[in-house]
Amino acid sequence: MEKTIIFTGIGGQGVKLAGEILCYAAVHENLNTTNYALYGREKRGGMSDCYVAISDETITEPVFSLADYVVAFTTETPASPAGKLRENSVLFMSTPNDVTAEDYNAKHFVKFDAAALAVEVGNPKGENMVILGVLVGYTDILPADVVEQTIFKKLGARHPEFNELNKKAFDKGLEVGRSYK
Amino acid sequence: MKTVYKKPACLGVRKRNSFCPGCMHSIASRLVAEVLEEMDLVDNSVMIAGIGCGGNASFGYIDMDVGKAPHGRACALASAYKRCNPDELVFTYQGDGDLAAIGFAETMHAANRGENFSVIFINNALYGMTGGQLAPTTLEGMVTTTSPAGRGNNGEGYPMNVCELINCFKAPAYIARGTCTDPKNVRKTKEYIRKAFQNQLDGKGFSIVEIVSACPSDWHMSPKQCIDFINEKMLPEYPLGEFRSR
Amino acid sequence: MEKEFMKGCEAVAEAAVRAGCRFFAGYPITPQNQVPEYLAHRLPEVGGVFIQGESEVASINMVYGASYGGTRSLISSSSCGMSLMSETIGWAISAEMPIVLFNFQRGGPGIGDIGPSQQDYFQATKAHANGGGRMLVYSPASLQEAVDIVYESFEIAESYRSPVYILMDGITGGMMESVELPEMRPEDYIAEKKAAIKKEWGLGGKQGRIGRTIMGGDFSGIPLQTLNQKLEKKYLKMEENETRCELYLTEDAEWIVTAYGIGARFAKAAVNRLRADGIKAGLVRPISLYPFPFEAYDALDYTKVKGVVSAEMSIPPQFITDVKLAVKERAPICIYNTSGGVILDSIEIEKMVREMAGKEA
Repeated sequence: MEKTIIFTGIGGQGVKLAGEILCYAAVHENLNTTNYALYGREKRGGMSDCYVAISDETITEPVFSLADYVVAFTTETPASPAGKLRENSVLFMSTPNDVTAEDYNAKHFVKFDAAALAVEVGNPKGENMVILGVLVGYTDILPADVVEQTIFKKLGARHPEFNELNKKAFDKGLEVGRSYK
Repeated sequence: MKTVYKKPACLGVRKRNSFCPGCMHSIASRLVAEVLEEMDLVDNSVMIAGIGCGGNASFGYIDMDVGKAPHGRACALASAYKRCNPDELVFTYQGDGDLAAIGFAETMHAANRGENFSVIFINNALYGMTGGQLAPTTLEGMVTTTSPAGRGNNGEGYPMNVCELINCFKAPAYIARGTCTDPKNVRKTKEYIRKAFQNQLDGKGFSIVEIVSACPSDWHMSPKQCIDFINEKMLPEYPLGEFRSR
Repeated sequence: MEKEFMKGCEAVAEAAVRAGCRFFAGYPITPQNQVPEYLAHRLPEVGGVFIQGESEVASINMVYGASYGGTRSLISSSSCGMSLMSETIGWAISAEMPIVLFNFQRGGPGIGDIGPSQQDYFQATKAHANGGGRMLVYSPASLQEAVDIVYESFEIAESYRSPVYILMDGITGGMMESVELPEMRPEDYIAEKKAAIKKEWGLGGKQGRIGRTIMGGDFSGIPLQTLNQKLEKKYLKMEENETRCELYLTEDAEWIVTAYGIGARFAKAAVNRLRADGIKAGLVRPISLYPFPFEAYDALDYTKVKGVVSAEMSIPPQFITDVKLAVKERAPICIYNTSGGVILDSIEIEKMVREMAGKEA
């Protein structure tokens, strides 16, 4: 079974990192996975999309215009995430703004404010960890503990002091994601 | 009978030289051959030859291994070749258009990296093989086929002093300028070449020997007139001597 | 061997090291910067040499110079960087230097943009430089295939005494995928290969023999016509022996999608979905672009094939030129092409086949 995800946001939000962590967790589970990040010329502030496919079979396409899960880090993406949705896709939208499923023509809509939630758990830089948590909590695309271990492995290797904070942010996201089920 | 003078055994074996009569390339390449032979390096040396008359030396005049470089790129080839083959003696043989115009970047950056090879640089103030066009080293007021009003009168700028430029970098080990106008200068230039090669064997880094030379064909002068021209016009612009010796 | 989840640039760079590459020079250009960044620390670990050149021009000439002495040498760049190298690539063809080149295509013409593209097809397959020389050109569709081709390319380059050009793109360089890396070639083997080249045709000091001059063209003493006749024979041998092509579900296919490199991944996805819907689609994917696998198109059953969709990331389309020569008007051809970092969309390819099929029905 193949699942496709498009993370979309703005350079500097940790879009690419969220995608990579999900892939490494998939590799840990012996699943096939691809990751491709597309970004603008700016190192920060430009468009940033990350395409992830996870499957127990060979993955044909590493990039796709429509995905099963579209994860928007902001409403301010250069291209509307609405254009990336299939009929049954889930749109995850992280924003403080008052937007609705109808605005994006989304059948399944998970809205939350990752930045505020990250601040709430005392990890204001952990926005992307919250978002990853929401995605995993809602979809169970990969076991939450495997993703958490991957975060520790990839981010904690150089900065083990952030493990606890990242765990708080990820767990908060999981909680929010599960509450939407 | 005692032999006091003979031609280097590696010279003219594969081919006779193809330089015009009175051209100082023939003296310069002979000096290179003599030094290589005296230092017993012929069998273990590689020349990276430039384009133009300078590259003529590669046509087999000196019987040695030669890699030809695209125009101006000899120092890039030599950098890589020497790094991959540190036990061989590597030198480039280039003219002024090759080294200082189209190959300026490659020359300067190899010098600045302190690459451990040697450069033999023939400065005859114009492009010889293509028929005497303006070179970076062309003297002020000098008429060439592409500076018909004399250099400097049509936005051509001023002569480029390569040794002085390279002397601005920290890395180079040896920088010298000689000429071949008389036996004294020929002997001096030969010593410069020997030092450049010895520096390389000692791992000291980038060495360059500039040789102020004549081009009788494109200067439209007899060899004797050429020597006078060098003494009177070239040497004031391009003073001789060792700029740096480490 | 265990699979590793790697970024494209790093995977192909590691494959080159394992194949015996011991010299790399390059100049920063997006989207392939991870190749020099990786080799800057990796090559010294194995006794190799890394130099960041002052330009693409200097870098290709360094690689060319290193190959004179038999060191397995690699250059990597992207589109406009390849244009800068053009002259020396011509020299390498003419002087028969076994260097390996990576091109991770970005937009063009000119500076283009940094998005992925397939805009260098003509440059890579028809006109590397002045003088009309040819070299082997491969275009992998996955990281595993890229790694395998890179590993093999150093051997092929030496066996033909020809540069080998690996045409990739911004997606292949930037994407991450699991790969099984090949064995590291032993140091003895690499040293033997280098010594053999020095003995047979390379430079290394004349060591008692007559001195050698390496350069292509007339000036080396070989009349140019003789040299070009010799090179042509080599090209013909390549055309006879080195074509590679993937044929996917083509046996009973009524609709052929053809694409190369990363573009073929999208074509294959479209073919899979069409098949699932009962439409008999198949894929022809040239892996060698020079020599082009014309015979793969000849092998199609044109009594069944009703149409061809040729897809590529280039406006104007370039790959189509060879597709047209290969199909020889035996079936109608539709073109789907994008540019400027717009990636091929399998949905569009699928739609195009459906439209053709609809017309047919």
